[in-house]
Amino acid sequence: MITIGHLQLQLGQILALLGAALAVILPGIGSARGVGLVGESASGVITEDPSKFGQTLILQAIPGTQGIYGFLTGFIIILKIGVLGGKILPLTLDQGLLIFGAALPIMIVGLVSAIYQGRVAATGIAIIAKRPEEVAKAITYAAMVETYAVLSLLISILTITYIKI
Amino acid sequence: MAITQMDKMVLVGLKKDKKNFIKIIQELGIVEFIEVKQKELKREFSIENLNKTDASLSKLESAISIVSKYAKQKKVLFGLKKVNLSQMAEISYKANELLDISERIINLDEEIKEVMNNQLKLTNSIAKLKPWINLDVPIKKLNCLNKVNYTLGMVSKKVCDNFITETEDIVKEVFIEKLGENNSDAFILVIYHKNFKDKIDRLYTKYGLTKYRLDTDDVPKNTIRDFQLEIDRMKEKITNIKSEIVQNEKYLYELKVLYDYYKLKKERIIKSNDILNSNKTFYIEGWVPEKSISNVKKVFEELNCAFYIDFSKPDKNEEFPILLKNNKFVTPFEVVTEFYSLPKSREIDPDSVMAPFYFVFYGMMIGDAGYGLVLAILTFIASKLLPLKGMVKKLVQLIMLGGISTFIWGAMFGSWFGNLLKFKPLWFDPLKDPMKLLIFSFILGVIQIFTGMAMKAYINIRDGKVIDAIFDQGFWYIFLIGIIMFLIPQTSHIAKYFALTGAVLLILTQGRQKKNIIMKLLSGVISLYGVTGILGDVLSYSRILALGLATTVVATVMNTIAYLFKGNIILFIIFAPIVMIIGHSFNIAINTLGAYVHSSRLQYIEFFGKFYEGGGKAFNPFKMNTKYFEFTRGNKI
Repeated sequence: MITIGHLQLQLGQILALLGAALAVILPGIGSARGVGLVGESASGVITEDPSKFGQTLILQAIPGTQGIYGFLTGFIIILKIGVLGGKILPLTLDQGLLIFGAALPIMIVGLVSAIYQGRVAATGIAIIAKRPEEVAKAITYAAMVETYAVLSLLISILTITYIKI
Repeated sequence: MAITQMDKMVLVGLKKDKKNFIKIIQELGIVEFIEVKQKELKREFSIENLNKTDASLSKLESAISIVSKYAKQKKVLFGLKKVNLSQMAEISYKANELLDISERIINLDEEIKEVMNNQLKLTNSIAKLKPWINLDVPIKKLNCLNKVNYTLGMVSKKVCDNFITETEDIVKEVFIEKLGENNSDAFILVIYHKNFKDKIDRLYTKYGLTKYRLDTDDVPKNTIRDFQLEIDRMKEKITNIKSEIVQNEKYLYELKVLYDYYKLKKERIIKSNDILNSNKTFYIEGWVPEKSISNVKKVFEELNCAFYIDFSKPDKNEEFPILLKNNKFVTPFEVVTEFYSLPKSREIDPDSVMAPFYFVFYGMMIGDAGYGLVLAILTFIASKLLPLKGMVKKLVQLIMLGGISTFIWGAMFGSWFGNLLKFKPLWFDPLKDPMKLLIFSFILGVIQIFTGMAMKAYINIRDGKVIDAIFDQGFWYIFLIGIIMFLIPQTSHIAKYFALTGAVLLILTQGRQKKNIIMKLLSGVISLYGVTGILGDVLSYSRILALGLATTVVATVMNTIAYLFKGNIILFIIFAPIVMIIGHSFNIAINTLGAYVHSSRLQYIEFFGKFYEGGGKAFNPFKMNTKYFEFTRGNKI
């Protein structure tokens, strides 16, 4: 227990909440960067051919999923520790650490994979610029990176779900 | 259920009938021309015809776009209106008249451009004169001054007063009037006797005064007024011309039909230039679907002219263009294969096997009954209201089927717009027991991977490579089933016999291409490493759980946010529906895209990777490619 004035905080609760926060922050940064990268490329293509807007938009959406996964993980954490119910459950230090650790995979992999996926999708825009009929191949290349985000999400969710509090 | 069988057609006819044959082939739209190389036959070109048609096309295109722009016509998004070919023939008789109308429209547009240009020039002139508006002496009179000079000049506001003071000091007989100013400068009129020119010029230099010359004889105010009147007249003229253009809107339909007529004609001319000819005959080779042969013959005979035609099957190893044909349920799934790569002519069309897997995976990845209903209903309406063709039509139908599957799985998992409607799940709630869904996803993955291997075995057997089927697929099955049995508690005690047998058989056979016995065995052992590849493939299917959960939880979050307004009843009624509509729409859109991408990806990598080659060329028949309408013959083809 840490006492600051009238506030009484358990270190475990702080760590768990930190885990949730970072799970949203880091993949969010990654997705923002990834989606932004694609948007920059797409803007260049549209100056030449505005009719390609729909296809480039689809490519731009692909790196956005890591942010959603991070959000999902953060949500599951705050659901689990009772934030949404109005009263945070008491958590010991180890429980807080466990939850924080469980959120690490999606935090880090979400951040990095989103940026890399953004780079693939951005070069996919170049495919569309020259050969608009091959848009599906560009999408497939970008989707390949998703595997690792999905695996890290799964581990995070499963671990968090089964931690006993 | 598969790849359409194609036959090769040889057609020889008299040159005088060539145009008729080409026209009828274009209308049929089921013959793909084959490029032929023959020494004795030559091509014949007709450049002037092509140029004339091109000229008409560009004239019509300009006219159509001008009228559409001024009449504010909306663009058609998805499909083309159907028109009968006989109508097109009728309109083509009026070609000259319509081309004249087009020329008139283009000229009117040119006129507008010219008037706008002049208008711009006048506006600029007005802007230049505006600072001098307070000058009440006509420039003409100023120019008549003999012994006295005048200057119209611009000087920085900061020094203007100093300039005036000093000038009036140095040169007593001077008249300076400040006519106006803007943000930075003042505009002044200076009148002085010629004798003081040098002194005045020195003062100009000292204070940085720039001299101006005005482009008018009159008082600036009058000139500005006259220009403004002229501009108003021009605006009116433009409006008149615009409405004259809009009056041509009634010809828009005929202009578009004529455009398509010329477009078809141009393609016929280009095709005709490619056809080989002898002295009196022409020679065409083409691919025709076997089932359409009798139709083609019948239509040719209706032309009532002499011709020779022959159909033959392709050689054993000859590739022919691919046209997929499947039943109504499987057809929409063809887009998945089409986006990847079409099968080669001797391969299996994977669609009928892939369709049920794709159907199931798509539904599970979205996994919400409410969303499924929305998708199915929206796409159903779209397919009925919009005239859709080709790939777009199949894509819409695919999403409709996907919506139905989503509905089913959503009901199974008890997710109706997240937790908005609380119905009991028909099977179980993945949020409460995610492991169950994960294992189920893995089982589905194993089923698809085994199916992929089975396809490869079938191909091997069909090609006579029975030994390969047994060694490569059969033994792998034994090995893999053995490993799976380890995981099932009931069978784990006999599992090791299975797995061991499989492993030994693989070690003995997987290296059979190698030269000596040691290399053979070594390769066999190394090949067991392939099990990690299979493991990776199975793990890939875990994304079904991930995506399904993501949809449900985000939907729940949207509902939670909407219900935050619960405290204040008025805010709740206003904002809750808005939040939910926006939130759920966003969720549906993102997850529909995600389900499409990832279901496709699973087929491409984990399924196709086991047996599929691809690389086939799509069947590309010579058909009517029109821009504005879809033309049909009176009778069915």
